[in-house]
Formats: sequence, structure tokens, C-alpha cells
Amino acid sequence: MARIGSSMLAWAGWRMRVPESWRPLRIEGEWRKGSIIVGDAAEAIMQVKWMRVTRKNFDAARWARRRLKKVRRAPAAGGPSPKGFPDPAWAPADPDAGRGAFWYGYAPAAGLLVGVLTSAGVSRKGQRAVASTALPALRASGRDDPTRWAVFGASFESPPGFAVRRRRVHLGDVALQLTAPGRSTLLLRQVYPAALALARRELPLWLEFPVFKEHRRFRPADVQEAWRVESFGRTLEGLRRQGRKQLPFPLGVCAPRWSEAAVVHDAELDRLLIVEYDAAGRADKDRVARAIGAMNWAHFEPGGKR
Amino acid sequence: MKPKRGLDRGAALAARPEAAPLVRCEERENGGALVTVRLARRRWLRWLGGPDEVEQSFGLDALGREVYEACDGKSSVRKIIRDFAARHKVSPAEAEIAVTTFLKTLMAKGLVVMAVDKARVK
Repeated sequence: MARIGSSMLAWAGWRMRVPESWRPLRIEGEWRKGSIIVGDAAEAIMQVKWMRVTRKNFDAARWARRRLKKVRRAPAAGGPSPKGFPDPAWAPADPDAGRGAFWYGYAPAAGLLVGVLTSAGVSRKGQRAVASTALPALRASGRDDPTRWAVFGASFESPPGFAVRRRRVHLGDVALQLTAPGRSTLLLRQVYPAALALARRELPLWLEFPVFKEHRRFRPADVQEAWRVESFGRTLEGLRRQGRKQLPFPLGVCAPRWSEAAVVHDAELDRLLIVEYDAAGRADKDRVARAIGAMNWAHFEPGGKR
Repeated sequence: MKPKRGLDRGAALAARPEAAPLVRCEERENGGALVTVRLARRRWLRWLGGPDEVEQSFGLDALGREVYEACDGKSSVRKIIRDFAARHKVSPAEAEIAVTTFLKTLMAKGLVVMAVDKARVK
């Protein structure tokens, strides 16, 4: 069942399967608009651009035609046609003429425009992999569906309505901070290999140090307690804590937030999974459990490593 | 002008790293090790007198030790990366960045030398 030699790349509502040696080289932008340059150890292979469209009468075909016209290319027939992207525009690469490939598609269910570009200098093997492997596997999450994220070997799922605000993509430490209307913040983080992480810092301490700078300081409402959570048919064990986050004195009474956080050790994947959910009202323990439970979905889905 | 010699990616991954002869290796609590090797002193230091070789110690964490111990002169860089990715359940792309960066550091410190197939040097 496992598809050898491919890995999942997912960001800001789109996802695709790419060859295993490919990795993001540069991530720019934010939830509404941005781009990722993807490549392997030898070269930058493609750039994936995305843009959220809020206009109701958006004419995606016209937009794509104009985009191709700008780069003096004419749309060609028979290009990759991934599911959920009706009528994509495609201009194949022509290395002999010094031209890269352009693909533009619009997913109406997600309100997401995606463009995949390769330059003329990319190897023929890379061009082929974009057209035959990456693009046909492109998918977009619907507006009301959870958003999936996958970068390197770490994958996350965020609830609908949450948009990425800050990110940290380091080897062995991937963290996303997402915000939703109503002053809710969700932090999703994976640290690996867990054996090394736990040798450096004990499990309870992984909840103590914020990964992104915060003005509010945490005040515990209770002590950390042992916690269990279900994840893809397995029971993961760890700790959870609850408390309030307040601005320093004398602003402590201004806009305090409830905070619910948990850290679990996934021994099978050798990872620490950390989630922190802050909200103006009482923070939702179930949301933390769901976020942890859905982590590493790419590993367990058909075609994943398991 | 003499052309610059270099390695392509395939040749670099096929190279076989070999650790410098070890004087001693002390275990550390975190699974790492303190390795002591004998390194040649810089020429200008030798002119000033003193021994030709000097002992230097380097602290390695558990993962660093694992990669260092894999540098046996027989395993290629590609094999070390593959084993590292499988053992720690990380993606091959991630393992490649981590292992090659670490090997570069070890080479710069003189802890590891690379055996490269001469025919593949451009």
C-alpha cells in the first residue's frame, strides 16, 4: 500500500504528493497569499503560489488567461487536471526556447487560487515530476473543512477558521501559530527525535517555554496532570496543564486569556507533540485533544509511511 | 588558470567518511561522548617549537556520536543518511540536510576525512 519515494507537502489549504527528496527551500507570505519554493538537494524545482479569493463573481479562467498573457504564453490543452480544480490553465515547459512551465488553477470549494511555476533551467526530470507527480495530486481543503499542513516529516491539522500567523520550520522543530476571530490562538508543534529532546529537557518543561514571544505571562490554574489522547488507533501519553495568560502588572486585568496546553510523547514516531490553545473564554480541552490526535496524518494515510 | 576541482552531488554522496584515529572516548550521561583525537598542529605553530601533534577533545551529543561512529571508511554518506532517516523516522530530505551539515563540521574540525572515488572528481 505504501507509495515508496513520495512525501506530502501541504500548506495554507493546498496539499500535494511530491518525490521524497523534495523539500521546501523558502516559505513566504501568509494565509491569504504566499509562495513556497520547492526543490531537492541539487536545484530549486518549482514555486507554488497561492491566493485566497473573496470575490463572489471571480472569473478564474479569465484571470489565468491574463496571467499567461503577461508572460507571453498561450494556454495549451492536455495539462494536469487535479481534482477540485476545474478548467486549469497550463503552459508546458519548453527548455529549448528557454521557457518554464506555468499552471494556474482555482478551487471554488476552497476559494483558493494556486499557481505552480517552474523555470526553464529546471532539469527535464524535475519538469516531468512536476507535471506527472506533483500537479495531478494537488488538492485543496474546503472553506469549512480542517486545514492540513505537512512540511518535512511533520504534519498537522488545524480547525476551519484558523489562519497561520507565525511559523517556525527548523529541522527537528516545526511550529505553527494559528489565530481565529475572537482572539483564539492555537499553537501546533512537533519536536523530534523525541529521545534527544527528552534528554535535553524533561517532558513537563516542554510546556514551560513559549516557542514564540508573548506579552502575556502564564499563571497556572492547576498543576500539570497526566493525560492520554487517542491518535490513529493508538493511545499517546503525556501531560496537560490549564491556566490563564495575563499581561504584566498593572495590565493583568486587561483581556486575560484561558490557556489549555498539552504535550505527549509519540514513541512510535519518536516525536513530542505539543498543542497550546488560548481563548478569551474557557479554553477547550477537546480542541487540544483533536489537534494532537490529528497530528502526523500524512504518516497514517494511504500512501504514507506506515 | 588551473580549473577548479569539484564534486557533483552523486560523487559527494558516494564518498566514504572515515573518523580520525581515536585516542580515547569517554561516555556521557546523555548518550553522547567526549572524543579525543590527535591532530597535526599548524605549520607555523610547529616552527615555534613544541610537538608536531596535539590532542583535542570534542563533545558530541547522542545523534552526533551516532553519525561519528558511522564514519568507518566503508559506509558511504548516502548509506549513513539512509540509516539515520530510518532509525529516527525523519524524512530523507531532512536527514540529508542534518547529516551533511554535521559531516561538514566534523571535516572542518579535522575529526573526519572523506575518501572520494578519484574518477568522479571533476
